[in-house]
Amino acid sequence: MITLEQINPALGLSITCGDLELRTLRDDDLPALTDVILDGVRDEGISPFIQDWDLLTPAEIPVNSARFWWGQRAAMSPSNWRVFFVVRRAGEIAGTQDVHGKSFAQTKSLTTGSWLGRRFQSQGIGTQMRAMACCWGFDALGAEEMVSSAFVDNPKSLGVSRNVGYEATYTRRLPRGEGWQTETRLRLTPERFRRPLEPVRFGGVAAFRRQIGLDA
Amino acid sequence: MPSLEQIYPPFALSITCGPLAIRAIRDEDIPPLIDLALDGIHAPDEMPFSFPWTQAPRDQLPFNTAAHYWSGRAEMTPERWRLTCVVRHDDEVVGCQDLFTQFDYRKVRSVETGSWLGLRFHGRGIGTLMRQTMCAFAFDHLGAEEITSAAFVDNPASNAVSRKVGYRDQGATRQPRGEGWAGLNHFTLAPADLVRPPYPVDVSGAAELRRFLGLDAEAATS
Repeated sequence: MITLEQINPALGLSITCGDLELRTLRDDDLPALTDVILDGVRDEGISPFIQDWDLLTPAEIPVNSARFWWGQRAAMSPSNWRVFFVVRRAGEIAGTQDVHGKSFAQTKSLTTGSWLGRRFQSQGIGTQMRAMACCWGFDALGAEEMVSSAFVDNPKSLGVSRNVGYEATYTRRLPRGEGWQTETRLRLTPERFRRPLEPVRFGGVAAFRRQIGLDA
Repeated sequence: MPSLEQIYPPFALSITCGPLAIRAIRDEDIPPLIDLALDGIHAPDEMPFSFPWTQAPRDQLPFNTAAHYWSGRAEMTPERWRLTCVVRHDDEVVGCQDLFTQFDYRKVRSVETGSWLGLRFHGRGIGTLMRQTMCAFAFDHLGAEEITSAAFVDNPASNAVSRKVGYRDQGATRQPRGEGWAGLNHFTLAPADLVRPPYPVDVSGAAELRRFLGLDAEAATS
């Protein structure tokens, strides 16, 4: 019988480093991941997201989140793909790290996004998972730049980008809440990348490279 | 921790009728369904579908088909929904039976059926039994007042199922197909006309689905 990983090779991806493991989100992960969101994702007074998906009611969050991930999984194509990795620390689900490739074969540029459950923040996990995603982008896919962005009043995300070696490029206004806030865009090149101290292992790369058209 | 059925209530639905078991497609159901589609679900020179998804190249059909199921889940709301179900016959995956809306179901109470069966399961009465089962479920548990179906005029098996199950023939219209067009027969089934299946229809999870589709909220305010 054909397998889910043959149907959608992105489902076979993994990145491991030390006690952190990133694996493509599967339906089996939804219950535990939903719990982490319901426990709270943002610090009081911080509004890190363009859409306040984490502030919906407890009745809305589970299905709304699942719908979002299913929609992203369904929409993936070689010219526009987004992989959502579930982040586990010592086997426990802590959040997600996503990597988005738009016209990647042409631009060799990838964009990342992530969130962590509040109780997993401020322990270095955010920095390590971003570094793992960058390592995967550069080494497994041949990216030449990694791009991140954060609102100027989101010090944790900006701190992660600084720790990993990103440089700020430009700012722009984005709608947020009823008004707007300034977003900083940041860029990392392989030369400036502060690599994780422990070895990073990848799984499923060859099949995924074929899926996104990098290899025949 | 919420269960997958609590996160997405259509997963709680289970419909059985004699040898048949019908439930919303889960990820583990996708590989056997794609195997059936790759083995063929109609003769190569026929095209029973308005969207010719079975003609996709063999290396593209698996992802395209899975993506259709995933986006169906992502887009399922009370305003517009498509309940895409896997059908098992004696515990073997045999095909798909869908129930989907064309308009806001809470207003029109009309729903459409669509289905396919792996080629080797054709001609055994399974298509009729699964349609009877789904129609009984829609009338008895979702409060449907009309069920519609459509089939190209050169798809005798589907047309025969609709007639056997009690649908009334509403005539044909032209529908684009391939480079040209084909006649599409339209059928309508009223609750009193349903030829019920020869076995009892056992349903669990209907209450969760009704809430999810906004059907009980409406009942509470009327």
